[in-house]
Amino acid sequence: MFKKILIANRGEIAVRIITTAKEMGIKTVAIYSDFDKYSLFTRLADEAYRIGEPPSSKSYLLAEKIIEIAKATDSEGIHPGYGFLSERGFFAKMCEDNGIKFIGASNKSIDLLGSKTEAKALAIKNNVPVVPGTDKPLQDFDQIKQIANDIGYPVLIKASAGGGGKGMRIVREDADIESSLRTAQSEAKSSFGDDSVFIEKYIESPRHIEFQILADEHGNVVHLGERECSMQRRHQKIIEETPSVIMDDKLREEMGECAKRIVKAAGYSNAGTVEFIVDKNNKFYFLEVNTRLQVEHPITELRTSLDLVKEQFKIACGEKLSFTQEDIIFTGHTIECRICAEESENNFMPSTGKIIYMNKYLGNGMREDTGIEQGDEISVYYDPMISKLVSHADDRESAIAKMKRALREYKLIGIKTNIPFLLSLLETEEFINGNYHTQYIENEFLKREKIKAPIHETKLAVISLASILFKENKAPALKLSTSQNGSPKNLWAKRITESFR
Amino acid sequence: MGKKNYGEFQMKKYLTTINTTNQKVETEMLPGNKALINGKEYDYDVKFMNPNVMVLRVNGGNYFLTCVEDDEEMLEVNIESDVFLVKSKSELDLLVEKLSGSKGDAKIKKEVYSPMPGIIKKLNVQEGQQVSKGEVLFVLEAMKMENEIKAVKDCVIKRSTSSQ
Repeated sequence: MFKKILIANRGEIAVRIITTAKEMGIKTVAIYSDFDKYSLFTRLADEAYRIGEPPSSKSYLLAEKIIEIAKATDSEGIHPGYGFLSERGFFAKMCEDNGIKFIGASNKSIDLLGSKTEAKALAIKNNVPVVPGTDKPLQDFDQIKQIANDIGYPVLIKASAGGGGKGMRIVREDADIESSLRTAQSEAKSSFGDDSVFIEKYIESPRHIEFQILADEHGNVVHLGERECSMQRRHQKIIEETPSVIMDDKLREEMGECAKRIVKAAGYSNAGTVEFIVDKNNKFYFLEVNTRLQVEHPITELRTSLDLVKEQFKIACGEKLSFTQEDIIFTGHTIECRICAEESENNFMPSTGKIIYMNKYLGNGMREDTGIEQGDEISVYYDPMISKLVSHADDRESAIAKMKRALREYKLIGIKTNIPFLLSLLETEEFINGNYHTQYIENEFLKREKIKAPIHETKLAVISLASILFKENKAPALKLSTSQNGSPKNLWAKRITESFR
Repeated sequence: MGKKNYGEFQMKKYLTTINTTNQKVETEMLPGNKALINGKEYDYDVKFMNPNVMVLRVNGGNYFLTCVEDDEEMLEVNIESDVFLVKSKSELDLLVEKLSGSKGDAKIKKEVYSPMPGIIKKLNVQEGQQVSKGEVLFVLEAMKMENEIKAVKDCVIKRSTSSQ
């Protein structure tokens, strides 16, 4: 096993990796941008080194500098987390060339599966169903337009090297293709340094269901069941759960086998995720493989009692999987909610500022993965996720009840969060029945008129009293700056140090 | 509970408007931690954990809530992650408003703000340029997403204070 590893990431996922490493007796090295100097993950690590300025292009994406620090600290491995350099084949190669183990897939399988077109070809070759579309990355505008017309609208434009909704656009008619293509290519270029895109038939209102797999360097592959990730907005997942309401043993086995087939064909080793879209008739199509740990991995961990980061370490050290497909026991139901800094009621504008107060009670059956504490600042530099709340219970109804309770007890002052939005989603008939799809939030939920029921007598009295007592006690109170002004007021920042730290 | 003597609220009347549900509440603070709210008497106890966080007990019922004032001086009251926009005015506030003949919040915003904090990735327009409604002015990158910011009406760019 490794003696020491470097974590080339920040925030909650760095925390997640460091905790498992510590439990396994592995020393940890954190790298940080100036913004993260004293963040939770840097304090949990055994060592912490500055990597650069806050923008990720000047810090967490500086591959050479990261390798340099790994070498200087005698780190034997680098865990890339998700995002940043986690799916960059060249980085895996650089690690290898410098005698450092990349705790992830090989650069060959990253490049193969990371290219959507090659992955698709591999799927076709291995009898895994795919969505009709182009099989080559395209850059030429006229050609793309022609193909869109041939397949028929609606079509989906996707960055060849993309992920997480970046560089992705749905085009419903000929008139929109020019501007959609332009933004998709520009996003792709700036995010991945590659502006080639591909285009495919857009499946209306599908579900997004993915399979977690583990593959060792000896050709053993298991799947750890599915994750239902259809609660999305603009291709960003918001709520994930497992098992999926639509899944039965037969479909699970069929999809699981497809997932295993494709990673096996790619000569893949590491934890990984095979994503599918599933149409209304439960017909499934291969989407892509994420060659890294996923944000939503905790729901699989709770349902299988496995530690995926631990498995990644073991696989990277050349160990064989210590269990077979038949050994995996699934228990209960788990749900994850992503708490984000945003104003859900104001077109989901990012909300930035300092968290001046934080109070929560998780209780039995809840897990929280977070890298944020009271006093931390949410900035424009990194993604807006503050926390991942995960509930685990015997059945779906109890898991939902636990989640709702924990969300109601989660208090945060200083930024706006999507907690009320998450709660209202959990209370919809569609979520309760499991009858939702990837377009549900945008096409149905957000289009409904929201009428808030009148408040009953006692609560009215409570709100009124709270408001009056606050007003009369106000002298030292803090003011919330809206996101329009960017950063919180200096006055506010000053008072935090006085009264909260 | 709290160290402060809330007896100072003697005979003070307030009108509270709850914007979220469009409800109005009349409250009269009485001595001895009592209040008359919409004609009904309540006992209460309060402890401020900090100026924005309080534990409020009303007729024995327990409420742990947060209050944050926004730029428009509306109060955001958060009870169990349920958010209400509220404003309480005392009798004195209402009298002052009446005498000055203004509601105090008749400010009209002429400026168009950036809809979110972010980094200008691409600037499409120059000073003096005529733009029409819907035209992309600039591309704003915030939290890893690119957003095209379009003109809301036909206009001429008077001044651009940003470079890419």
